[in-house]
Amino acid sequence: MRSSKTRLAVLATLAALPTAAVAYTAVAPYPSTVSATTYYSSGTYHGAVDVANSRCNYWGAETGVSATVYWNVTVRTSGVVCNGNGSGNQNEALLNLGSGWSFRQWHWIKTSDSYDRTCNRCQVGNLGGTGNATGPHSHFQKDQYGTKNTSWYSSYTTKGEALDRGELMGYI
Amino acid sequence: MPRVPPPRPSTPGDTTSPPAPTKAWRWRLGAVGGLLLLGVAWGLWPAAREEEAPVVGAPRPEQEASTEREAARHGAGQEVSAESGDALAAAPRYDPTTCWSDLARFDEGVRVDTFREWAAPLLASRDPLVRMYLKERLTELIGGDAGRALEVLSWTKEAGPKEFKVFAMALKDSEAVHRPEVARGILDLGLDTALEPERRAGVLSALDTQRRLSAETLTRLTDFAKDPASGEAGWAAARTLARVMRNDHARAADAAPYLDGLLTIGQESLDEHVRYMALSTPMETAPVLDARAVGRYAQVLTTEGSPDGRGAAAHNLALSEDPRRVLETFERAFGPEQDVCVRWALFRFSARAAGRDALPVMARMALTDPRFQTTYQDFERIYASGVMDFERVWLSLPDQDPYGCLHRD
Amino acid sequence: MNRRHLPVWVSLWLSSSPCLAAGAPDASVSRAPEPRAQACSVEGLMDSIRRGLQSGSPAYQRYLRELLKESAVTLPEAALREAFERETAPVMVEHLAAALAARTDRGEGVETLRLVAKRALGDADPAVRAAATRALRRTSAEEHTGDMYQRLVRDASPEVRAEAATNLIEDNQYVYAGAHGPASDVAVAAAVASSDPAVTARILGNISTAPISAESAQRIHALVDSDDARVRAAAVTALGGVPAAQMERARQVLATRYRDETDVGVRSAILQGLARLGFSSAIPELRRLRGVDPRLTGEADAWIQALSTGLQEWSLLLREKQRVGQAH
Repeated sequence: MRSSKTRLAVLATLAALPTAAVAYTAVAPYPSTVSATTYYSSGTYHGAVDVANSRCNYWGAETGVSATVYWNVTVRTSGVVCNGNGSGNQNEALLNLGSGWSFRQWHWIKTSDSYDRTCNRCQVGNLGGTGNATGPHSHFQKDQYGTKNTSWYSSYTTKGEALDRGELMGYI
Repeated sequence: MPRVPPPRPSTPGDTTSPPAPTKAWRWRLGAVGGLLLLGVAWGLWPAAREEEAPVVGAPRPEQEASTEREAARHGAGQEVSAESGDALAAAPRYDPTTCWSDLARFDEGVRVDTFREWAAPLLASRDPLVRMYLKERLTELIGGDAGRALEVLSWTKEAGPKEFKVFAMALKDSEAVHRPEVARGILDLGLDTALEPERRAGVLSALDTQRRLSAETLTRLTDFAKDPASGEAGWAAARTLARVMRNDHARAADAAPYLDGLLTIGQESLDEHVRYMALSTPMETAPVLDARAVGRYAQVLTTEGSPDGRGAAAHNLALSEDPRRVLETFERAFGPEQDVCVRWALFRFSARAAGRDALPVMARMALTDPRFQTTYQDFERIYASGVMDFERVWLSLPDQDPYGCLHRD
Repeated sequence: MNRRHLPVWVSLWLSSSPCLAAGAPDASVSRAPEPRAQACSVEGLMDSIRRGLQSGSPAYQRYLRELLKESAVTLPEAALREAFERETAPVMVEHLAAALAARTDRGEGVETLRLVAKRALGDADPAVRAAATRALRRTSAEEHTGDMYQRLVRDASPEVRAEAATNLIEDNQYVYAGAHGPASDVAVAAAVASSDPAVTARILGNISTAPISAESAQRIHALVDSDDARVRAAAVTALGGVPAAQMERARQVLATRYRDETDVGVRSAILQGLARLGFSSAIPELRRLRGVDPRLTGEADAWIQALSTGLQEWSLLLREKQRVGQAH
């Protein structure tokens, strides 16, 4: 029997359609110091959060989101690079957040763990400085359709602050 | 009674200069030592074992050994090369968690007036999980009570960084934050010049969960954010405006007063970061712009000095009540624009503004700047395939950053 | 005293006093607690969680759950497995199962997650099967458990079937952002495999079909002729979001189906599907259909009005349509 209740079900479904971007907690990938926030950066406009630790290729670079999600991993540099090898050569873990939103994590060094994967704070590489970098660090950037969003970092996370692994950086 | 140190190694501040090898060893010794000390403490202080009623079981020797085996088995990665001597040693893949004795009693008995004293040892720890619990527990304790909320607000004036984070975030998430006297207290403290900018930024951010802002509050935040002296606190004020705009838009579909304030900040602030926050963050609400907002954003396209700010204006202009006018604005702005990244914004957001109908305009842009010809062909092919939704168009692009605009690190 | 052999009620009674639970004298509630950091153990954590069930603080309960999950990678795996296999209370099974799944998702082997899957599929108690299934929500389970979801949606227990459907929907959105073909294909396969129309309809009506395979699209087409209106409505909703290569066929099927269909809910879903497939180019078709069913003239008009704004994103069009609907 066909019921008119179906219409209500369909309308209820409208609100639940997976169209809105979802929210996650961004966390530090290793013990680190906040070297740039989306507000503060030295030099040119940055629009991202950097966390750094000088021990290149020692710490594993955990994906900086505290949730199980699918990471698209792109390796552009295969060797060990700690102090930069030119813009565009950074290794990247990319999280699609839906509705055109993305969250990117850069500069890690390729390891055997560097492949597309669904995981929660798993190590996709080692702390490094691939791409446009002057030292080993991780760069976290959120954008929608290629436009940077700078509001995600927590105002309770400040430049120069020491973060433990897994400690809150912001909400994406 | 002596406290057993948390069994969590950490290296705060170990970031700005390469550590000496001794520092690495100190770390490793610290990690192992922490476990040993824990074991020793357990053995030396039987009273602790029997009288303190720990919430959790004692660490067993086999557990400790297992944990160390785990740490040894897992390096940071499996292709660690010897760039430095340290790299040969495997970094710990995981930090052991901390279990706290007496926490159940804390949870059951704690009140706002005892919170700071009781929570002090937990707040002093380097345990993110327990700090998150404290934040959530404090939110529960505040509840809808304005007096408790104002007491917690008073703590934020001089709390240390980690404490401050817990107090301010708990306040932000409480029901009492919606009481007018609490919101007013937060605003007054956030605008208090006696506090340092980072602390004011954190205090102001406690207003981010407001459901709406009064006209007076909106004006005060706008004026503050565009004040050259406001610094990071002004940046946070602009973000608060944008956040509450999102809340109010979801509730009442009304973004106009907030957008007006943000555009004023975006056009008048002398701080590039504050302007960018104000110009870009409406993207989180995605308001459909009326004629007035279109006019103001269009002005930003030609007057804003920062390429990122102009790009952000193009982003938000793409959603309007008059897509044709926006398309004309984009086409006019493209020729004089010298920055390839802003041109890329005008190009892609033409598609967001008018979909397939934007293709002729995009084709003319690609004639003006041949670097865009390949990208134009990508858009043309995707629209020809039948895809209309700009989100899917975007995901179908072979390269979402064809001009290296996200790579300005 | 080995508490694992005690009945649950005795264990809970003992746990209500932290001191008794640990075999220590009572502590005065009048003095301030003196929290001290200690290493975690499986048994200790389980005791804390049992005790925490009595707590009036959701924050404390969340903390204990997270603490066990976070500890899963440093606790001895064997102890965790043993506790899980021994446990029979659904609420505790769920905590331990979540911890075992967390181990896998943190980058350890898939065996612990598969242990949970085995319990979700095979435990004699439906409440335990449902609890284990819930524990796999928003994890990587779809990638490591073969046809588990096709089997779970056929479970004898409606609770298990419903939990499985929720997992597929939430994984699709929160783990894969609706953009991962294999995840959407797993969801479609499960929806088709289920003999419970409510489950089939819930899954199909709430996942992204943008990245599905041609085979999955074909399976959805087959459901458009279902006897159950809920399934038909969900199938046409799903067809509204198919990949570009499938769009033209979907458009034709929906337009034809509208006139033959009698259920108002299915027809409403067809209007939405057509709007999604065509955006502003769907307006002529919607105008042709608006007079077919007087009950849905307003609905067709609302879609036409929303599409006429020229908005180019489905999420924004949905928002606009809901706004238009509320205005009328």
